[in-house]
Amino acid sequence: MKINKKYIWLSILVFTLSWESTFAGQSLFGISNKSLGLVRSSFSGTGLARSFETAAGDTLQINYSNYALWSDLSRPSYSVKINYAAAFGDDGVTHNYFNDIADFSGGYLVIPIMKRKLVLGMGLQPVTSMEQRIADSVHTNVKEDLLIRGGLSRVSLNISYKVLSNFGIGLGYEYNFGKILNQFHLDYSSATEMIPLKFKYEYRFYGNGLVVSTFYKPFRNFIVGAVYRPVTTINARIQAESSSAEVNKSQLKKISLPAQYSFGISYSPTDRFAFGLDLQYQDWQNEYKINDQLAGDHFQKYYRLGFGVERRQSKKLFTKFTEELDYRFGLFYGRLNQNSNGNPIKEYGVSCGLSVPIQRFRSHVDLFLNIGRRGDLDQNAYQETFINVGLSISASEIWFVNYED
Amino acid sequence: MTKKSGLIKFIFFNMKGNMKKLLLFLLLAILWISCQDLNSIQAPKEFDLKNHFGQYVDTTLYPDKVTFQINERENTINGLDLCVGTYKGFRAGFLLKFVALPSIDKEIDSVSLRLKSFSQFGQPTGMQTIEVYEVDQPWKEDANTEDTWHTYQPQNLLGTYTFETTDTLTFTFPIDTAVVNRWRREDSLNYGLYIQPAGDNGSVIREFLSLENNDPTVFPRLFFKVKNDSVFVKDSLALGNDATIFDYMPQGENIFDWAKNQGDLVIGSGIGVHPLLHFPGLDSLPKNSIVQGANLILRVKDQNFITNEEKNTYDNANSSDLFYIRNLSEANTDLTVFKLDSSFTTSSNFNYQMQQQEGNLQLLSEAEQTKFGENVVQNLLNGNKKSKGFYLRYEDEVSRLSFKRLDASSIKLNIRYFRMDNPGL
Repeated sequence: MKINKKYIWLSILVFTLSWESTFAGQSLFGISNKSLGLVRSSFSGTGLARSFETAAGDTLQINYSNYALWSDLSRPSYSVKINYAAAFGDDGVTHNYFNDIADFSGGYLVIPIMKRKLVLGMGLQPVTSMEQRIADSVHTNVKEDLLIRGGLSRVSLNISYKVLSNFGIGLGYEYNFGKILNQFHLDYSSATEMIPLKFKYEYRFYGNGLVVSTFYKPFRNFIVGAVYRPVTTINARIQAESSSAEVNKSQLKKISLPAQYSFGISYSPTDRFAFGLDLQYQDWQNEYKINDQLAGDHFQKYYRLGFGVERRQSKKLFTKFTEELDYRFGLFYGRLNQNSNGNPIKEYGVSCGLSVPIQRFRSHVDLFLNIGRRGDLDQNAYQETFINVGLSISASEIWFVNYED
Repeated sequence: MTKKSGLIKFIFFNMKGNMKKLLLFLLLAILWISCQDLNSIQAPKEFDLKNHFGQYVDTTLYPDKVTFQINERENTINGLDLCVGTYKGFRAGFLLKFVALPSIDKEIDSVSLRLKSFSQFGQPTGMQTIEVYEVDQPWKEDANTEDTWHTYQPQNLLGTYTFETTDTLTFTFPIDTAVVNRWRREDSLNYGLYIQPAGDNGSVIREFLSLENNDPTVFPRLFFKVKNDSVFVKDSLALGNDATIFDYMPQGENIFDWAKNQGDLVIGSGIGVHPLLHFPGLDSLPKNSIVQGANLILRVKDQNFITNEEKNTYDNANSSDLFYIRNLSEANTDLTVFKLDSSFTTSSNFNYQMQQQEGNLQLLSEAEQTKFGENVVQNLLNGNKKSKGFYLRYEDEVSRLSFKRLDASSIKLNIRYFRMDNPGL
């Protein structure tokens, strides 16, 4: 197959922007000592619209959370997700904080080896992220200013196998990587005309991981899905950039990322309707460690509970446009992976979205919108109203078939 | 869409026009938004910014050893002034030689030397007399470094001239035409002139502008009339060499000895006087520090030597108020033997400029303090350089005489650094 150079450049661009997605954050929260950022949802665009993903079976859409369900895919498929998140924050004194970020937040390529039986796939997805600038006075006429940005991502290589017609498993190797940048400078009051002191710390993360996923369909219209990522130990290479030779000496630390558990169910009373429930859980309080020491008591048990409904497009080939769309709605509630003001941070909201076919039954654009509230001024240092809007684009094609024969 | 086309092609090339434009717009918007800067927020409770990496430290070190070194043989090759006169035991005279004199086949007449006055140092009273001699041996512009010229007794007096000491205008002296003609006939006999004070008025040292100034119109200049086609025309030249010879021959108490006995420091020019300071605390600064800046501060005592009266009459108001700090790469414990770190000769990063501001000598600006901190203190912490002490000098210590008293008990080295206690993760 002759490859157009434009595709290569565009692929590089998409990959680069996906990498750049690790340097993103969208909240006042997530900044704490030894933080790797807030946990990012591992849902596709459709999953974010309906608030469940782990047990969402689809013969076209790539599941971003439960790779075992890829074994339902019959054609090579691609998917990429673009995300824009904005948060309007309040700390009780200042009422108009605004944070926003836009990024490419992952993508997958899945290739069936044996149709609806054995599927190989790979992809890239952000795991955590943060971005914030914080400042404080530390001395007469001296203010510390720190810009923190970055997060973790992972590349997955997964093989999914449908053991039985109603039971499948997925086993994946994951390479965790990422970078968090701390840019520090001392600001002086304008009267002093002093030159700011600057230094930079870069934490580069890398390490191997594993993911196991499964689904089971006890009934034709009922799916149970589960995903498990065991505790993963990765390396953090710490490198300072400063005028001090001593400070610039590279250091290596071991980081233990908590195990991740995802569980979901979905039920489809008809071909066009589905309800689903999703739960994700990670114990950052007890399992996030640095050099085998707990990272801090300000980390929390993370969970996210989602419930949603989906109305799928008509299967009729010729129908009105509104019947060609998928409609989704959901609710979600959860707790972030770290405290604020000594208390857990709750997050809840509503989600909705729709899928617009570009070529029916082959490819579609999935639009999603989340609106919610994060934190509470009675408990936390901030509260935010956030929106999360974006799209994922999914397509499936037939490869390896010579139509000219 | 063809069978083998991919998603990328699908998105960017085969979509209907509006959707394609929309996606491209979204892409550009995302890139633009992603580049937005952030306004800072207060550090939350869970983020201890003050101790996240370490501590900002603003500390002051004090010297355990202070002294000063005297160099009576400064190289005045680049001196901007030619000084002549005596003042409180200081004496100055200068050598001046013009080259490229008119050829001997042209008759010359009425040669004169013009010197433009810069200023004067001292407390001028009465008259000042100077003598102009013909020099009878070769010399170079570094003559002040040679003992010979500090005991030189010229023989051929060409003239003696007396001025009001308060006079600060341009001075013109006639020069014996026969002498100039001799130089023209035999260039090797042209050793120039030596101009020295006559007797000891003792109240003033006159400062003329030398050949080292930027403006040639103020140079010492030899005027003469040259016969050209039976007509004398005025001509001049200002090409040559010069060197001031400074001496200190106190008739009473030596001010430097006096200051040393008082425990004072002295910084001087003409006769170079260089304070030497050692700060033991420098060696115990934490290695894991990032230095923001450092400032060396010394209080200037504006009191006279010996009499201790208000106003230091040895402090030349015409002198630049700029000074340099040099790092000592080696030194013994009492700073009597030392070696200057010569890095300043190759990079301005190692040249630290001080200025007298509000009664103190201190680094000229915040930029200088940063440079001093980074290149001396930080390099010391990094093990790239040794710092066995500091050496101070006038920025221009060869043009004219000037001596300041410095309060040795006031000396302090302020250092601002960030001590990195942990890497933040």
